[in-house]
Amino acid sequence: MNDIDLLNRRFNREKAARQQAESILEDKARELYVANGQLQHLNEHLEQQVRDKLSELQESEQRYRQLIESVEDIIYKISPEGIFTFVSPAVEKILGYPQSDVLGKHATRFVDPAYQKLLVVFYRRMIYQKQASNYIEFPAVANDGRIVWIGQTVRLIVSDNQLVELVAVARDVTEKHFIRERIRRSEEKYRGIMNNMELGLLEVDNDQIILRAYERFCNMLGYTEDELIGKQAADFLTPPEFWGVVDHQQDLRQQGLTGSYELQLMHKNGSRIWVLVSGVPIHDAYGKLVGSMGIHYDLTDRKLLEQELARAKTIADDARQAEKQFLANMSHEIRTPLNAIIGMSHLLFDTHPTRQQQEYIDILKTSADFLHSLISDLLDMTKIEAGRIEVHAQPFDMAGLLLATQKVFEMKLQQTPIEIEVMLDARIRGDYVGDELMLTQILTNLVGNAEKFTEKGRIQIIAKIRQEDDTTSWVEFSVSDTGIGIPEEKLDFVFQKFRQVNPQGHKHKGTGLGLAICKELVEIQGGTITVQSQVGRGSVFTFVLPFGKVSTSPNSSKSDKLSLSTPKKLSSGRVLVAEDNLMNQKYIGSLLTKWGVSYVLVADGRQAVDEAKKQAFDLILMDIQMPVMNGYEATLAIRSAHGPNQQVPIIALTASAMLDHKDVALRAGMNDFLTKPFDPGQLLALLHEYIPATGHEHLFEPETQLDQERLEELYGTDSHSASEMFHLFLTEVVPEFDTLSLLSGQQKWTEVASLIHRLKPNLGMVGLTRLEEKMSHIERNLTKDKRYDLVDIYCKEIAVSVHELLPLLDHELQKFSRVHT
Amino acid sequence: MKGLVFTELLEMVEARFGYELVDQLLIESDLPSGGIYTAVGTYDHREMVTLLNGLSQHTQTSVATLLREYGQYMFGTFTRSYSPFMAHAHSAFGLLVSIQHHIHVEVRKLYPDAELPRFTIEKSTPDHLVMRYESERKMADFAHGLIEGCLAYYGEKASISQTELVADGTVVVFDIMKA
Repeated sequence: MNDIDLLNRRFNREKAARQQAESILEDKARELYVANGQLQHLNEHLEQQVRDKLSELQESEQRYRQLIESVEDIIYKISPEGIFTFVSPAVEKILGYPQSDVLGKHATRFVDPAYQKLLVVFYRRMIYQKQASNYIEFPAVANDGRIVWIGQTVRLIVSDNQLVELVAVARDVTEKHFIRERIRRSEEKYRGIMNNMELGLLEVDNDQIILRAYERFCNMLGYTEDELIGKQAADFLTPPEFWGVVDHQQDLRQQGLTGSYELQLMHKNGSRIWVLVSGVPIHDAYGKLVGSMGIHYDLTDRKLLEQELARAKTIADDARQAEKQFLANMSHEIRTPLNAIIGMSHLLFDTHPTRQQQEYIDILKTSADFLHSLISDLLDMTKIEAGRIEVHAQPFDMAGLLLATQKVFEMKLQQTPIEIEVMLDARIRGDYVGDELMLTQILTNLVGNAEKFTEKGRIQIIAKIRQEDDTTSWVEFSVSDTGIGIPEEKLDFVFQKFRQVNPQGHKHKGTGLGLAICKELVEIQGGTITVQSQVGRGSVFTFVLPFGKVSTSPNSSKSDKLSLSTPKKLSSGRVLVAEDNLMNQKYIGSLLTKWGVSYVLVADGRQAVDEAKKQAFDLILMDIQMPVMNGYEATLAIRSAHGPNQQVPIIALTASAMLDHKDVALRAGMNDFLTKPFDPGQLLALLHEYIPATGHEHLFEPETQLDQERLEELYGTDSHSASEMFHLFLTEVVPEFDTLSLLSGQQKWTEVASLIHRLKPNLGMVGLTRLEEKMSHIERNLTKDKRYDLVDIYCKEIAVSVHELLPLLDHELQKFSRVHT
Repeated sequence: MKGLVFTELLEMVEARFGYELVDQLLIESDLPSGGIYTAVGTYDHREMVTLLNGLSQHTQTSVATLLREYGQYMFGTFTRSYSPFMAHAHSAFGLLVSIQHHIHVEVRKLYPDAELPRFTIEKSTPDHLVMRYESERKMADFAHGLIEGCLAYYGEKASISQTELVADGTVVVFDIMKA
C-alpha cells in the first residue's frame, strides 16, 4: 500500500512537473515565435537599408563617372602589366580614339615610337623607386596621325605592398609644348647670334654675384661657366685699378641706367684682355631690379691696333711738324731772294732800260710775281690746314676795300679788253667789323681767278646786304666773269685742293689752291661759298659772310694800302731800316732815296736798338728774322726803354705769309706789318700813313689843281667811269662836307670821325690828294691826339676848300664828258 | 533559482538514499511549489534552503558537506548537459578562469532570468589560481564542490583552501594550488 501511495505521489509529481514544463516550453515557444517574427522584420528592414545604400552608392558612382567623363583631361588606369583598364571619353576628343579602341591595349601603343622607350623607363623607375606620383610629357600619335603632346601625372595605387594599378591624368599640352619649344629655339637662336657676334654675356645679381656666364664670355676668359657662377664678378675678374669704373657703373645700374665703358678683365691664364662693356639693369616681372647684364666685346686686338695707330700718328705728326717747319723755313729762304728779284725788277724800270730790256724785265717781274703767288698760296694753305688761321675782327671800311680791290685789278687789266666794275648796295656804308685781310684775300683770289679765264668782257664785283639784324649784317659778294666757264660735271671739284678744272694746256697756271683757300677762309668766318657757271658764258662765285655792325668808327682805315700811288714828296721823314739781307737793304734803300726820304740802315736788332737810342726817327722798318736780336725782341726793347723812339711807329717786315705772324708783331708793340716781297706802292702807302707832315701850314696849301697823275692812274682812258665818279662826287659827296662842318660845330666827335672816314677815299677818287691827306691829319688829331679844337677848325677849312674847288671839279667833269661823247 | 538545481538535488538524493527520502522531504517541507520541480522552471531559493536543512537532519550531515558533495555531483551533470559551454577549455584552470566572462555569458543567453554568482580571478599562474566568489545566495560550499568536480573531470590534483572575506559567507576566496 505504501509503495503504491509513494508511486502515485511520484507519478503525480512527475505528471505535474511535465505539465509545468510543457507550459513553460509552450510559453518559450510563443516567445520564440514572437522573437522570430521580430527577427524576420529586422531582417527585412536591414535588406531595405542595404538596397538603399546600394542605390546611394550607385548614384555616387554615377556622379563620379560623369565627373570623370566631363573632365577634359584623359583619366586612365593601367594594370601592372601596362594594359589600359580604364580610359575616360576625353581620349576620343584629344586623340580621336574611341574608348573601346584603347581598352586592353598596351600603355605605349599610342606613344610616338621614338618616345616609347623613354616612357617605359619612366614607369619602371617610378615603380622601382616607389614614387607615389610623377609627371612626364611625351608626344602621342592621334588617330589621324597628328602628333599631340601629352603631359600626364601618374599615381601608383598600392595595396598591401603590392602594385594594384597606375592611375593617370593626361592633358593636351601641345600648345604649351610648342610655345616652350619656340621660346627655347628663340633663346637658342639669340644665344647663337650672341655667340656668333662674339659678344660675351654675363648676368649678375644686385651684389654682382655671377648668376650666368654665356659660352662666349667663358671662352674670352678661359673659364667654364661652373667656375664663374657664384663668384663676385668685380673681385674675381677685374684688376683693382678698374674697380672704380665698375663701382660707378654699378651705381648707374642700381639707378636703373644703362652704360657703356671699356675696361680690362683678367684671363684665367693671368693675361689681361680689353673689353667694351654695355651694361643694362635687369628687372623681374614686377619691375623690381634684380641684377644686371653685361655684354662684352673683346677689344684687345683693337686696343693693340689703337696703340700702333697712336704710335704711327705720333710719327706722322712729327713728320708733318717737320714738314711745316720746313715750309716755314722755305718761306723765308725763298721769299728773301724773291723779294730782291721783284724789288730789283721794279728798280730796273727806273733805269731807263731799252725797249728790249724793258720786255725782259717785264717777263722777269711777271715770273717772279707768279712764283710769289704760288708760294703764298701754298703757305696759306699750310696755315689753314694747321688750324692756325684765326679770324681777327676789327672795324674796317668795306666800300673802300672793294674799291681798292677794283683799283688794283684795273691797273693790271689796263692793256686788256676786260673791264672790272664794282656794284655796291647803297646800304653798305661806313665800317663793318670783320677780318679785312681775309676778305681782301678772298676777293683778290676770286677776281684773280676770273681774270685768268676771261679773254675779254667784264669782271663784276657785286656786294649787297642779304640780311640784317641789330648786331650783324650778312653781306653777299659775287664775283662774275664772262670767261670760258666751268663744265657742270666739274663744278664739284673747283673748291678742292690741287684740282684745276681748266682745259689742258690752258695758258694759265697756278697751284690749284686759290679757290680752296677761298672756301676755307669763307668757312672759317662762318660763311658759305657757291659757284654757278655756264660753259662759254662765264662763272659766278658767290659768298656770304657775317659782319658785325658799328655805328661809329674811331679807327682809321688803311684801305688804300695796296694801291699803287705815284710817289709824292715825303719831304721830312727820317726812317730807321733794320734789315740783314743785303739785297733787301739795297732795294729798300733805293726806294727811299728815290722818294727823298732820309734813312739809317742797320743789319740786326741789336744795332737797331742802339741806333734808336741815339736819335729820333719818324718810322722804323723792322725785319723780323735777323741775327743777334730778332725784330720782336728789338721792338720790345725799344718800347720798354725810355728814349726818343719809345712811341715811334714800327713796321714789321716779314718774309712769312703766315697770317698769324701779324698777331705776334702787333703783340710785340709793332704798329703794322709788310709782307716781303712787297712792291714799292705798298711801302709808300705805309710811309704816307705813318710819317707825319712837318707842319700843317705846309699841308694846308690850297689845292690849286687836281692830282692828274693819280686820275690817270685811276681811270686811264676810261673817261666814262671818271665822269660818273665826278658826277657822283659833285651831287652826293659835296653836301656831306657841310654836314661835317655842322657836326664838328656841335662837337659830335663820334659822328665826325665816322663821316671823315667815309668821305676821305672819295677825295682821292677825284684827284684831291692833298685834301685826302688833310683828312688823314684830322683823323689823327681826332682819334690819337684828341685835339678837338684843331679838328673843328680843320673841318670848317675843308668844307670851305671843297666849295672853292667846285669850279675846278666841274671843269674836269666837262672834260671827261667831252671825251666820253 | 533555476529548477535544474532542485531536480538534480532530488536526483542525487534518490540515487543515494532512495525515493522514499525524497518523498519524505517533500511531504515534510510543505513547500510553496508543492515539491513539483521541472528543470526549465524557476523557484524560490528559500525552498532549496528548506530542502537542504531537512536533508541535513535526515542524513546527519552538515549542510556545508551536503553542498560540496552536491557541487561535485552537479559538475558531472554540467559536463553531460552543457558540454558545448566547456569545449573551449582544456584544463581545470582554463575552465575556472573562463567562468565569469564566457560560461556565465552563455548561460544568460539560455536563461536570461538566472541568478549567477560573480567570480573574479585575482591570480592566475599554471600552478596557482586565486579566485573570489561573491553571491547573496552564500553557496560557496557548492562552488567548492564544483571546483573539485572540475579538477576531477580533468584528472588534476590540487589543494583548495576556502577563506571567507565577509563573515556571512557572501564573499569567499578560493586559493587553488596544484600539487
